[in-house]
Amino acid sequence: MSDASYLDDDQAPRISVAAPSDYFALLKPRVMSLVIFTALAGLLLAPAFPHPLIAFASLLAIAAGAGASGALNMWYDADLDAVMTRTRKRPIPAGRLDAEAALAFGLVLATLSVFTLGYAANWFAAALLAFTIFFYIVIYTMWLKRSTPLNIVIGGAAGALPPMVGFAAATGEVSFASAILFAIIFVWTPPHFWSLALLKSDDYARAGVPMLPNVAGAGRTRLEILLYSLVLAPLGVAPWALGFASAAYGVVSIGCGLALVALAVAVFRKRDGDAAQRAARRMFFFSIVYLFLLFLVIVVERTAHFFALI
Amino acid sequence: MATKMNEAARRTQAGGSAKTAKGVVLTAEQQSSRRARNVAIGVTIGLLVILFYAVTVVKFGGAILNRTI
Repeated sequence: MSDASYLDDDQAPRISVAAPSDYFALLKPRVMSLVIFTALAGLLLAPAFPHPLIAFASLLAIAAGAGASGALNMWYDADLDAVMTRTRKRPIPAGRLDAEAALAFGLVLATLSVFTLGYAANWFAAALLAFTIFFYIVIYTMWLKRSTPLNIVIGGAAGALPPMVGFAAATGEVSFASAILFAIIFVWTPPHFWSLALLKSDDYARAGVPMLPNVAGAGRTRLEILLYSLVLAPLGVAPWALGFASAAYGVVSIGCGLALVALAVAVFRKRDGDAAQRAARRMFFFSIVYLFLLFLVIVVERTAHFFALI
Repeated sequence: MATKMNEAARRTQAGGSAKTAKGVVLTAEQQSSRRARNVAIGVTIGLLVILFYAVTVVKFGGAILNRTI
C-alpha cells in the first residue's frame, strides 16, 4: 500500500484512551466485594478448610467471575445505563470505553475465572461458576430485565449462588447449609432492589425497564417488600435454628430480622412525600447492613472455629 | 494530497490520532493510556503466572519431589 492510498482513508484510527481504572470500574467493584464476602462464608461452612492458597485462588476466581458478569452486563446494558442517572457515568455511556472492548474483556475474564477455579479447586465448582455467569448475563440481563417485573426475583438466583460456589470450591459438592445461604440472598434480593426501585422509579421508567413500581404500582411494591421481609426474617434465623451457626448468630439474625420487618412496615405505611422516600431509603440501606451482618457473623465464627482446630 | 496532509495535521492538533505519511501518530493522552494499559496487563499476567505456579506446587504437595533423575 502506498502512502497515498493510506491517506485515502478518511477516518482517523480509533485509538482507545481508556485507563486501567475504567476496566476496573467494569467489574462493579462494590458488587464484587459482596460476592467475595458471601462466597467466603460458603467456603468457611465446609467441614475442612482447604489449603489457604487454594482458598485464596478460589475466591479470586469467583471474584473474577463476578467481575466478568459486571463487564458483560455493562456491555449489554450500555443503552439503558446511558439514560439512567444512577449509571450514566459508567465507562461505556460516559464514552471512556468502547462496548466491544468491554465485551472482549468480559468474555476473557469469564473464561479465565472458570478455568482458574477448575484448576485450583475442582471442576464442579467451576461449572457452578460458569452457570452463575450464564444465568446473570443470558437469563437476567438479556432476557428477564427488559421483559418482566419479576426480573430481579428470578435473576436474584445469580447473586445468591456465590456461597454455594464457595462451598463447592472447598468440598466438590453443595450442602443443605450452603443452600440455606443461597435462599437467604435469594429472598433478600427483591425487597432490596424494590426499595431502590421506589426511589428511582422515574429512572427505570425513562430507561424502559419494567421494575415492579412502574408496572404494578408503588402500593403493590410496598406490599411485596413487606411480604418478602416477613419471609426473610425467619429464614435469616435458619442457620442458627438448623445448628450450623452459633447462638450469637441467632441473636444478631433475630434482632436484624425484627428491624428489617419494622422498616418494611414503615415502607408499607408511609406512602406519600418525604416520609415515604425516607422509609424506602432506610429500607434500602438497612437491607445491605442486614445481609452484611449475618454473613459477617458466619465468617467470624467459622474462622474462629478453624483457628481453634489449628 | 497536500489537503489530506493538512487534514491529518489538523486532527492531531485537535487531540485525535491521525494517519500521516509516517503512519499513525498518537496523542500524548493516547500514548500514556496505552502505556498504563500495557503495564496493567503485564502485571496481571505476571501475578497469574506466580499464582498458577504456587497452586501447582500446593496441589502436587510432597509428591513434587518424586522424580526420576
